[in-house]
Amino acid sequence: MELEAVRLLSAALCMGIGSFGPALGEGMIASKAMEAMGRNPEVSDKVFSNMIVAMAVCESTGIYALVVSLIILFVA
Amino acid sequence: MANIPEITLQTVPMLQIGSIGISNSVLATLVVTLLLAGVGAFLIRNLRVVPTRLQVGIEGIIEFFMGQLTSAWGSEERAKKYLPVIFTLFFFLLVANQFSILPLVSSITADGVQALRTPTSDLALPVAMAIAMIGSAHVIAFIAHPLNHLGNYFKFFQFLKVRSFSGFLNTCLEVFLGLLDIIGELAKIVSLSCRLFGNIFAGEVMITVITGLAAFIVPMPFIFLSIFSGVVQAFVFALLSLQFMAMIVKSAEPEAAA
Repeated sequence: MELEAVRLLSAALCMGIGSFGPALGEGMIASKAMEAMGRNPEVSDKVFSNMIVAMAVCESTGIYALVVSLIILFVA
Repeated sequence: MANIPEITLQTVPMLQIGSIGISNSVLATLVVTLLLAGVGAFLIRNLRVVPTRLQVGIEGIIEFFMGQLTSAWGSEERAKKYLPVIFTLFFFLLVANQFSILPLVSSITADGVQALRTPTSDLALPVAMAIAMIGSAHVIAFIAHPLNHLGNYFKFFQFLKVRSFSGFLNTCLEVFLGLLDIIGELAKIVSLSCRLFGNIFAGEVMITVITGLAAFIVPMPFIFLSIFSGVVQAFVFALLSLQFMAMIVKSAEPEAAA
């Protein structure tokens, strides 16, 4: 394969495989948070802000994959 | 696919002062700073006992961060010391992340490149902010309790307390983990900055690509998504740097170590 084709393929694969884990993790966080909110609606504000932070932390591996594929596409 | 504009990671230098090039993202940062200073001056002029709508909104945000800071630091007094820096961080990012939806901004061009680029879509600004937050926390902790703070990372003095062979092995592990924590601190900076940069830059790229495919109505949900993620990221950056600062400074205190 040519270098250009390998670059495009590797960027796509990096993003596709890399977003797998964070998606699962965020789904779990959201489902648990929804459960907690449903059981105890009074604390939903607190749960929501904590949920957002936890999701952002969970998302960071996906963001690393994104940064790597951006580097593959635009820099290297 | 020809009508998609070129997407670049590098910023373009716009002005040259001495040997320092001022890039388009730095120009945009200056614009955001001026904007915030203007809003601040306007608010201070118009402070009322019966507040205006803007004042109510901002007071609400301050209240929220005050609550978070108080729970992270454990006392209101200490929380008040850190409120200005965290709130400024949040407010700056809130405006800077939404920079591309300001009207007419993207049509200012010089030599065919945008003269103003969203500040956080250049890695330099998030990295600088993350280094400033984590670094200042370390400096504060070091000035307050130098030996304790260094002792959290270099645990060699614990060899003096070793009584048995298994204790020796445990201490070896402790020392190794302490050294590993130094890498952890660097990883904090990387993760904080890459998270912000990645989210904002990805939003911009997505909007550019979708606008190239269909310019009418179709990009609207994506623009909304990018606005939402910009707000969330500003919030998350402020909250996480708050938690990291509190964690670093508190772990150096004698009562926490005991």
